[in-house]
Amino acid sequence: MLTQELQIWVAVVGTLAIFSFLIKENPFYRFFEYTVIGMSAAHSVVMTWDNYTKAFWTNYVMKGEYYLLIPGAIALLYYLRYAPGKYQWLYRYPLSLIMGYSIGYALAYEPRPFMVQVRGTFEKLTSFNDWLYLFVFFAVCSYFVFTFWNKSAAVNKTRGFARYAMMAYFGVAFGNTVQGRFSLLLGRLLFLLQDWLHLVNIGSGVG
Amino acid sequence: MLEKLNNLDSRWMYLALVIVLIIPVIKPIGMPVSVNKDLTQRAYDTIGALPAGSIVMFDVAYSASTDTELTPMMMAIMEQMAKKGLKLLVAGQWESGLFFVKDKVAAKAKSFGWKYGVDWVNIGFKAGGISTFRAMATDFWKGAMGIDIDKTPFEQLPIMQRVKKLDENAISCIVIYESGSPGMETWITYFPKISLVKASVAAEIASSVRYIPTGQLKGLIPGMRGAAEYEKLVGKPGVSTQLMDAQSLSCLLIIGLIVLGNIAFFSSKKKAGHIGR
Repeated sequence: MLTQELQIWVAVVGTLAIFSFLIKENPFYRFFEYTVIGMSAAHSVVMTWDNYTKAFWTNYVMKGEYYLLIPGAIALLYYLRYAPGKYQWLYRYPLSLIMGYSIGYALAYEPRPFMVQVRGTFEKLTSFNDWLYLFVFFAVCSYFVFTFWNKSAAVNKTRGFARYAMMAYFGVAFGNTVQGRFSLLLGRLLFLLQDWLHLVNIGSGVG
Repeated sequence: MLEKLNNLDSRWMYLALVIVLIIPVIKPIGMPVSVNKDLTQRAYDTIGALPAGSIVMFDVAYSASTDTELTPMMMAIMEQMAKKGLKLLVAGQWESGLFFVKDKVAAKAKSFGWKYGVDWVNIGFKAGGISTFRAMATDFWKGAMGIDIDKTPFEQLPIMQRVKKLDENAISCIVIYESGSPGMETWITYFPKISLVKASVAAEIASSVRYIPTGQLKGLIPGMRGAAEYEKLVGKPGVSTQLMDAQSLSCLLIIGLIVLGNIAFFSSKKKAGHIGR
């Protein structure tokens, strides 16, 4: 028996509309695609305003922490991106500040995450896998050195090996991605079979 | 025959895939699930080693689209936490994720008899990205604007008295449920002292696994398969376990199609005398 819940019917129509793209491009699909994008953007704005900006104002600024208005005012300069040309350049100030702060903070932080990765490549060479990893590391590095060594047969062979190593990685990544996409499709099919058609009853955990 | 296969409309393959996915959902086969010792078992052991009363933080970094893969992991981990007597703080870097899982986490917590504000809390989405979480490292309450997802002040939530700073003393472990960016880089870069477990969508496993040998990740739960493994570890087979038949059969179908596609491709080339040119 089909469900009586309006909310589920709306979700079913949306799901089928998006899947209809698999048959061919159509206005039904386009309408729901734009609806999803619009709703996501609106949701994000409301969440930020309601859960953060409003709380920032009432919980801190209105309770006497007026100095917080200074970074707030700098942040507002972002919106000058949409101002007439004469004032537009001012939006670069908050952008530069956040970029500089983030890069400086990440580089100064200990331990630097990329250095942990580099150290990890060398520090434990106890098994065949560790040595293979090290060899692949150097082989792939050599593949991306374009300025010299290009006449050496040994380096060219190493680069050939690096190409296979990278293809193996891409293969694993691709395989996992396909598997992940099947999971998402399964989620939607389960929604149709369980919540809409009531053909199965596997349980919660999937919405 | 092979010529026909070479020119087969891809929509027939979509139809075959849907059939292969639907049949095992309606009539499960019950294929066995083995646990990956290097990924899922590590995640389970990391959380299992925490002393009772420790606070585990969930970072909900996903939205509705990856619900099938990640929400079952969350439910299975909560089962383990309930058995171990761990406390839960739910936060998130994605604005839609927290509201999306809000009811599910609340229902699960209720089934354990957890009391809101004492055994668990959901602080909701806090805008500002990495900067906000860095602010929480100095002063959690101010960084989080002092309110939970329902705007209840932290003063009224006893568990928040233990979380004045976002550091390893307050939070024993972070479990990130991630399907994209911002994600685990926030924790690996700025909070390396807090144990980090990643519950990941399948698409991100290949790029995340390198963080396991270096200890930057203490465990990695890979996609729906990982969720089924975790359900097995906690002894509560759930949605993922039941969907694994469909997942496995669909992978077999794709492997079969790849083999057939290659045979058809090389046969047509050979016939036309193009091979090797």
